[in-house]
Amino acid sequence: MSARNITAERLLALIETYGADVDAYPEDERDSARALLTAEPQTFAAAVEEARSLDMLLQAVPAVDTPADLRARLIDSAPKPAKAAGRRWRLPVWIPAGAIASLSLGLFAGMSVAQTSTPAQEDQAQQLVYAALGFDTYSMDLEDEAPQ
Amino acid sequence: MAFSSDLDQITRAAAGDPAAVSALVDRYSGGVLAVATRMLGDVQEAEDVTQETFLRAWKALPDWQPRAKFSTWLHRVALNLCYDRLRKRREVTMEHLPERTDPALNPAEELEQKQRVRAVEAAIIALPERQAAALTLCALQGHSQAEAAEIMEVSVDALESLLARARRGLRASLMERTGS
Repeated sequence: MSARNITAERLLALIETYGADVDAYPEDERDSARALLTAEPQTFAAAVEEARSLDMLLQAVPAVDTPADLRARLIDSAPKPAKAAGRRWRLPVWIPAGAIASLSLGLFAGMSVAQTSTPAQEDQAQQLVYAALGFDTYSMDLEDEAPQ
Repeated sequence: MAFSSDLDQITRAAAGDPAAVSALVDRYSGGVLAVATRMLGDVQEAEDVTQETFLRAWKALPDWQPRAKFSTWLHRVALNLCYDRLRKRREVTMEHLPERTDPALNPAEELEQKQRVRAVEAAIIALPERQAAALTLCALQGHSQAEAAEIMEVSVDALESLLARARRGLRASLMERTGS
């Protein structure tokens, strides 16, 4: 950053704005400010002294540290790793595996029974279904539906 | 340097990397808390503002665009939250400021130091809010003129004007308090 020449008026403004420490001034005005302060110390002595007393009071204000419990809360409120967040809603592996096993066993058992049943057993089963649906008898319904 | 390091940590924190989250908290929570404490003068409220600021940051991380420094954005959010709270309460008390002790001082010096610090803290809080913000950012938190101006969304000239008025106001207030 190139240095900027400053006037006595500007230096007084800098002292009033940033205090007595030249390092606090805008970077491009520091060298000129130092040179002017060295060349004409009496011109700025009163302003520098007044600014320095305020600087000292401001420097006495202690730094603020983050308390441990606040730090913990801030960290806790942050995003969680995507993997962990996804797993939270996923069912345990054994539940879908168990469901598939039960379904397969049921299908196998059902097919086995169907294959071994006789026509008489099937007829009996159909009669039971008809009775459960509220019809009197399976055979009577069949007779009613028979073409005249 | 801090800018690119921030970007890397923001990306990792957005993905939930605990080390990146801790690094961002450790790097910036102190500054945010300090600004809120100086502006509000109430430790509990300052902590609430800090927590709200970071909550907003965590939400913003996945869509973060590096148009501004993360630090600048974070301080701006904190400052705006402070302004909101100050607008809700114009009367400020200093009752809740934390007690701090310096083990290097004897009891009499410690008391005097404590009184001086409390007077300065009270005088800062009594300043108009934008002057208090400018003074806190530059004189207490060590932000550069450009950073402070960006955080406050004002020009450097406007920042200088706020700073000069803040220092004048602070001096007058302290002289009034000490009667000298």
